[in-house]
Amino acid sequence: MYQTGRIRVPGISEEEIHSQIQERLTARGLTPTEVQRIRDLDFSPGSGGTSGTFNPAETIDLFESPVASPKFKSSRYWFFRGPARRIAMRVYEIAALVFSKLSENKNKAFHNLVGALIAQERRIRDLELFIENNLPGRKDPVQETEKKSSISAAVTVPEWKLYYQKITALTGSYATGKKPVIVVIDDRSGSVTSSIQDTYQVLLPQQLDEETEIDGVVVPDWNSQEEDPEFNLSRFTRNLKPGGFYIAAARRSSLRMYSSDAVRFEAMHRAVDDAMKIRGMILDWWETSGTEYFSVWMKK
Amino acid sequence: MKPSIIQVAAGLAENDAITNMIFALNDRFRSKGYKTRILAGKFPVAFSRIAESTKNNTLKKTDFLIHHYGTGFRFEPSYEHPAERKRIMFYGITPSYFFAPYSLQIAGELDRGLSEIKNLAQTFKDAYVLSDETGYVLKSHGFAGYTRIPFTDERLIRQQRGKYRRDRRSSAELRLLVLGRVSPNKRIEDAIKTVFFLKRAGCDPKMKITGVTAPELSGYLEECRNYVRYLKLEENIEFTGPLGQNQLERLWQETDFYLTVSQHEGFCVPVIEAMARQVAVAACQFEGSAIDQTAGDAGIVTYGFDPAVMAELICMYHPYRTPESSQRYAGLIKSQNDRFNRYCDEVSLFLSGSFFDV
Repeated sequence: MYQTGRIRVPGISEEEIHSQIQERLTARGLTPTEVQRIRDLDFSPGSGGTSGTFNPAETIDLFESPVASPKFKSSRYWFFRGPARRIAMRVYEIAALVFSKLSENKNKAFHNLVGALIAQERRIRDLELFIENNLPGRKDPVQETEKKSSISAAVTVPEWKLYYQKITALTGSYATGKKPVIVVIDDRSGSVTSSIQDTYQVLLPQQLDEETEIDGVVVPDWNSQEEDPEFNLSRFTRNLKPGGFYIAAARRSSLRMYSSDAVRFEAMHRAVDDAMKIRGMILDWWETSGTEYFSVWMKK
Repeated sequence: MKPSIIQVAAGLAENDAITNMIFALNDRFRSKGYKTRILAGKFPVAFSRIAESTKNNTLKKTDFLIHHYGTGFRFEPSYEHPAERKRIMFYGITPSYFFAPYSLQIAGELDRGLSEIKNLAQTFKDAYVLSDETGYVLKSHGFAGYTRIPFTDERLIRQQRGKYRRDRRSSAELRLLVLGRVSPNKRIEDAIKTVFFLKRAGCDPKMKITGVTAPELSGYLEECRNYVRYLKLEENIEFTGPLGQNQLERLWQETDFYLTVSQHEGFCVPVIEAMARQVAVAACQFEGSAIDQTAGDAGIVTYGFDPAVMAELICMYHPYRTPESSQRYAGLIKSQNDRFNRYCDEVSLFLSGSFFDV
């Protein structure tokens, strides 16, 4: 349940302390999912790290640091002797200072360029990862299940649709030969509904009564739901079958603009746990090629 | 005739561990009859009577140099000075990857600082460190060896040894302190997550996060505030910013636990400060960090970090919750006192040793 290795406290043996901790955590009613959710909570802006030969930190440092002033000791500078040498060094240092002051705008522009390079690098990395995970020949359990279920998952399918298919394949709904029932919430453009209605039985929220069991809930745009998102979650998840899934997409662009949006967005997790009391399994949480986040839960 | 002792550092600052170490060495050399000078790249006006700028200052061949190595700082005369008349004091360099997401400038400086050690190894022979962890860094960058010495702040020892008495209060709330620079390697967010689990355990935690944040890392501070808001801990956590000596001393007085979940520490002076003030220490040991060596066999130390586990451990040693936990807390403080006394002995031995005969 927990990740810590050795624990050292005076006066108690390690076995004893581990068993006491385990007992206490169990008594608190903390689920491993809850502990993991807090432990893995991460608002950091992501690494501006290095790959290959490009090291952004080193590049910025090199760009900003002036080279050390020459000592004027070589024979090339024979005419700088005594105090003249010291004056020359001082002039050189002042010139370097003035030049760096005058170059402040250029420095800012260079920083922007490096920032853009980092963003591009991350985007390429994400794409590579996505393609690698979805290569036709790759034998991962999800794709294997898809094959058995006669679903042709291809990279060309819009990403969100691909993941719906994956998750539906996981739920095993296809085994029964029935079309899975899915509720799509606030699909303003209609694009999500039209692209999946061949494979799924798509219901609108108003078509749902208390008795209807559904396989999945899809929120194409978390940020622009008409009703309160927490209300939607609690309302539709009641109809979810065990093993049914909830999937939501949110625009990432808003996260970049305001850090508080990151907090609001993270509230999706909290909403699932607090409002719905789903206590289910978070299957995945990922970002796609720079525009959206998806999140999937499966009901126990 | 005794040589002048010149100590050189990148900068001096109030409440800074390296600065205190420099002053302690300075006092000791003076008491032994040496003339001393302190040169620094940057220092506050308050120190202008004690310190001089490195600009326009050179070294005489007869001077004895102690170079306190900091990143992003190059004092040319140090390199040219004869090897037998100089020493280097190395305090460790935080890996740059902690800073890269927040400030490429700082990350770049750290990278440069690390690669500079190879050049220093060519010219310095005597190297001193506060922990073996930092010593390994020197060795892996070309130094033949190093000598470990204890962190020395005589004022701390003089003030605290055997004299410190903490006021016990009746309130049941648990007061925690996170002290030091607010920077990504300190993993302040993990301390915040610990408070979340302490609150879930019904401990009524109150944590103060004290220390300066570099302007380049303001994004990190904002991120930490987001954790507090998201976990609804506004009433449990306070960011105090940097504090003066008196305010800090008052804060120590009312603190029950000093918490550090830092992933990289060259020594971690606040661990010793907490022990000196009879405040329980809860800390994490990570690869390359010196916490374990500094804490010795005292305090609560986990190898790796899990906020739920850390919270439970702190709960078990809550000074006011149950008679059993109070008793455990008293035992913890006693073991820390023993460790602090051993540390004082190490410092006494060092101060009377050959380091000060040059």
